[in-house]
Order: sequence, then structure tokens, then C-alpha cells
Amino acid sequence: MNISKSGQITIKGISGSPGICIGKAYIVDREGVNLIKRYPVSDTLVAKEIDRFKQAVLKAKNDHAKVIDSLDKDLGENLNILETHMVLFKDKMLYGKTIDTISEEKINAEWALRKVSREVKTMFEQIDDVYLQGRVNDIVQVTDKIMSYLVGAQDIKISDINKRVIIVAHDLSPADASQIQLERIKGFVTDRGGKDSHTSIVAKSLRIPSVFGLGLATISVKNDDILIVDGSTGTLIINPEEDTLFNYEERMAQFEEYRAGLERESHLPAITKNGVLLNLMANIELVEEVVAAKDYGATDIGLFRTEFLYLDLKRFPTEDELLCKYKELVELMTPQSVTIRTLDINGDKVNPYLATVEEINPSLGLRAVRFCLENEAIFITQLKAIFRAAAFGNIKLLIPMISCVEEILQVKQVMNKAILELEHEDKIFNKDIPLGVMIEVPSAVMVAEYLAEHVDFFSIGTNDLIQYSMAIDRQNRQVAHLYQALNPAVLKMIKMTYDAAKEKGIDLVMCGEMAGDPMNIPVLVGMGLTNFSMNSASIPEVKRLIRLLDTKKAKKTVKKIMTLSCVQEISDFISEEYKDLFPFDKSGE
Amino acid sequence: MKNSGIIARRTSVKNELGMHARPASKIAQIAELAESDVWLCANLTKVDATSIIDILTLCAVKGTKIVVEIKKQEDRVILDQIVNFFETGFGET
Repeated sequence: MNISKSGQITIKGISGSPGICIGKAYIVDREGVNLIKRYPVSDTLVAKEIDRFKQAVLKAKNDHAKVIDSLDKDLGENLNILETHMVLFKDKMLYGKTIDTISEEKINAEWALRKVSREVKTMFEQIDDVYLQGRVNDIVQVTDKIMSYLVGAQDIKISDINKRVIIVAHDLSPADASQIQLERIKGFVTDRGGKDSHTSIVAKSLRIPSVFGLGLATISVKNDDILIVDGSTGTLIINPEEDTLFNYEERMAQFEEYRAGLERESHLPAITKNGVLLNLMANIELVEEVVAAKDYGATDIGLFRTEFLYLDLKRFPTEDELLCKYKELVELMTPQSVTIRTLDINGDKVNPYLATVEEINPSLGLRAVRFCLENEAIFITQLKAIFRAAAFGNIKLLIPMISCVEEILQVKQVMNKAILELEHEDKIFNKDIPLGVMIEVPSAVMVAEYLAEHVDFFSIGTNDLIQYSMAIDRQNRQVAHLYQALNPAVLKMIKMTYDAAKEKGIDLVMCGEMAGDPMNIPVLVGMGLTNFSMNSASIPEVKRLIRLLDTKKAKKTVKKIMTLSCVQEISDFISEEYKDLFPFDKSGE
Repeated sequence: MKNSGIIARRTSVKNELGMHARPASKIAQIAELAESDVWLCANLTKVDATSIIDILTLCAVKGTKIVVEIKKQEDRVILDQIVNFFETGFGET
């Protein structure tokens, strides 16, 4: 905390959601809840005390159910949190134990509840697990709710606030946060909460500036104080000086302009400053995502993941079921192309009973094309549906996890079988569609020039390529720091793939998450890549960067970084070289 | 001897996030319907499957082996439902 002469207080917290807002403070407090009295209850009144507790839980639960009912069912994650709270109200360890404590120790319900909830809290806090430590909040919030009914204190309802204010709270429960009405609230700050807290999830979905983990905010702030919340850097300023105010007003305007600009520009073509046209496509999983992809300015669908239908049905879909989905997608996108990737999972995910041996290391196991080649009938069904859908639009076929030339030859044999069957059945189909392979296994990079002889395009899947190249399990936190897109080893792999594709004259796409991070774009463009497929939401920002980029400068950048041996040097070099292009870097001012 | 002894089935935590609050609350809801006790065993601990708090204390990350136990044959359906919920990765894959 930093206090200036004029009384301006600056407190650093944790960035909740980006953006800047300036407004008056509105403190949300829960007075009463912390002042709990302890008194004995006589034998004859124990049953009555237990009843009073049960009534309070019931009321709290009903109240909570009303909040859930009043919410939009699309809130997804938020709703899950609230529904978890619903079950917690009657949990044996909380509900049952409180009742036991009232009758065994003959004390009042408030004290018993506090005692039990403290025990649970301590138990969770002692476990060395960040997730569980975070769950303490859930227990506190549920206990608070029950307590407020026991004590009779009235909760301040956020939905009753009718001024445009900045909420200052000790902590915001998801129930509180989901009642925030955007048109009434500019932003919010809390004493507690961290990056993984439920409140932060809520804040991001609301898209209003917020800062958490401020420690002393509610004590330092008085109602109607002027506040500046900078959600991008995690800063709260109380009673700002005139200069600070002026400065932040300017930055706020810049940020808003930046955001609006991104949205305006998303429909412009992805042309670099010096006139090179690039192709930005979307990765999707559901047909329903096509609208969003088009809104964000995607030209084609560069990667359609087909696993969803299999996992959703929990069985293998029929040819007609698959055709129905693929046809719908292709017709929506026509004349633009849709790249359909064949099944990329372990078969036992679809049907647990299919597993014959338990795989200790499934990502190195029988997955994707390996599974499909072992289970030819399943593969043929999918290929037939794809060929049939191709009669209705522009489809490209993409095979995942190819690790050697033999596999692609085998795939071609199976494709021929599928085509023969379709001919025999007299179906309408189109077999002349481009065939591509995912380059996501290091061995595929090494034999890329041979693979290129047999296919029409490559698609680099960076997520797996990085995982397999660096030999790290992406789910293992202990090695997560080695997941480095800009590692020289990864960059060399991409370069090799690019060179092989160029030499053999076939197309190259990058469809991994690496393409969705603007930071990597100068490098990828500088290497010569022109086709990128990413999550639709990343497109506007990547497009903005491309429109400011000069490919000649990018080429020079690549030349330089290909001589650097450490990932840190590479990322520092890019940040420095392109600092004008990243105006709102999360890392600071 | 239909009603005595413990009936158990093995399974494991399959989803990426491990046993977090949402699946724990779902399991507690299913176990609540049982006629007799339902237990989850993992990491040498045995917890009451009707308590979300108790379940969470298992700290069951992805890959943790779980044994689901019931006391009465009548709760066989509950047992299967819970095992199935584990097997499908809590529906979150």
C-alpha cells in the first residue's frame, strides 16, 4: 500500500478481469455475521434449537434456489458452483455435525455451526492442495448464508443497488456476483479471492474491470470515495489526485478504443502492412460454433474436431448420423472450406468396455489414427460419411497422429475400401478431396519430405508437437514450465516442416494454439507460414497484429531468433522488437 | 447371505481436473438415495459417499484408484451408477 501526501492510496492486488473504470465506492458488508454469541441450551430446549437451525438452513437453501432459478441457464460454470453450494447446505459434515454438536454440547445453533465450519475449514486448509484450499470459500459462503438467517441479519442484495458504482466487498460469493447488473455496476474489488477463485471466473464472464486479493480494501475505502480500478494491472487507487485521474481517464479511453477497434476490424481481410494476404481460419468442435467463427472474421474452418459426437452419444455413431452433422456444417460454410479431422481419441473414451488393456500412458498409446487403423470398421464409417458430405461442399480430409509413411499408405487403402463400398451402395459422394496429415509427432517432422509425397497438405498441431518434442505431460504441473511454444527445438521443427512442404509444393496450415497467441505471429509469419487456424475468439486480436505487421521485418526477426539458443532470449527479443504492437500487455504498465 | 458383506467395485478418476466440487456433489446426490451406507475408498482412506466435504478430502486427482463399496445388495444400482459416473470422466472429458 502506498499513500501520497494528498491522501491518494494505491493498493496492488491480483488482476481479475481487464479494463479500467473510475467511479464511486459502494461497500458491501455483512455486519452481524461475524459477531456470534455463545450460550448454553437446556436439555428441554435442545430439540427446539435443532429445529431453529433446520429452519435457517431451509430458508437459506430456498433463497439460494431462487437465485439459481432466476439465472440464465447458459451461465454454465457459474451455475455449477451455485449448485454445488446447494448440496453443501445439507452435507453431513456440516449439517449433520452441527445438529450433533447442538445436542451433545448443549450449545446454541450459531456457535455449533461456527465450530463445525471452522473444523471443516481447518481440515481443508491443512491438505496440501490449492484446489481444496480454494473450496474453503464455498464452505464459508454457505455457512454465512445459514448464519445470516440464524442471527437475523439482512444480506445486502446487490440487485438492489441503483447507482452506477464500484462494488467493494470483503468477498463476493458467486451468488452475489451473478446478481450484478452490468448497467448498474462499473467494476468491483474484493479483499479476498485469487486467480482460481470462483469470483474471478464470474468477473471474466461479466467483462467488467475487477481486482481481487487486495487485503485491506474494505477497511481503507469509505462509501462514495472516488476509486480507480485498473483490472489489467491489478491496481486499486483510492481518492486519486487530479493528475492520476486525468491520466487514467486517458488510458480508459484508449482501452475502450482498442477493444472497439478489434471488433470493427475483425471483418477486414488479414493483410499485412506490406500487402501479403494471410488466411485466418477457425478451430471448431460443434456445428453451432460456425456463427461465432464467422462473426470473429474466420474465412474457413481450418479444423473441425469430430470427437464430440462420439463422446456425446457414448457409442459409435452410424454413417448417417455423422453425415447429417457434416453435411449441415459444410452447407453452412459453402463455398468456404471445412477441414474435417478424423477421430482423434482413444477408443475407450467412447466406450469404456472396448479397452482390452489399460494404457499406462494413453498419449503414447493406441489413439487417433492408430486406433482407427486397428478398428477399420469404425474408420470406414467415418470416411464414408465424409466422402458423402463432400458432395455438398468444400471438404478437406485431415488425419491425426501420423508418425510414419506406412500409416498414411494404410489410411489410403482404407479410404479405397470406403470408396468401393460407397460405389457398391450407389451413394452420392465425392472422393476427390484434398488429403492432409497432422504434423504433431517429432518423427513425422523428420520424415515430412517423404510424407509430402503422399498428401496434399500438412497441418501442424502445435499442442501435441510441443508435448512430444519436449517430452512433457501437459497435465503434469511439475513440468508445465517446459511447455514452450518458442523453444528453439519447436521452432526448428516448424521450420523443417515448412521447408519440406515448400520443396514438395504442398499447402501448410498451423492449427495449434500457438497460432492463437499474437506474440508468436511475427515468428510464424516470418518463417513463411500463411495459413493459421485457431479458436475463433483469438482471431480479432491476431488479425489486428497481422494488419500492423511487415513481413520483411518478420523475416529478419526469424533470421535473428534462429540463432538464439534459449527460449527466454527469444521471447525477450520479440517483446522488445514488437513492443509497439502489443499495447495492452497483461504484464504491466 | 444376500444382505450381508460388502459389495465393491473398482474404478478410477478419469477426468483431467480430478475429483472437484461438481462431481463430488453429484456423487453425494446419488449416494443419498441409497438404503444403506455407501463408501468411497482411495489413498488408504475411506469416506462417506453422501458427504461432499468428506469426498473432497480424498484429494483424488486424475488416475487415483477408487473402490466404491456398498453394504446391501439393494443398493447395487447406486453402486453401478457411481462407478459409471467415474468411468465417463464425470461427463467432462
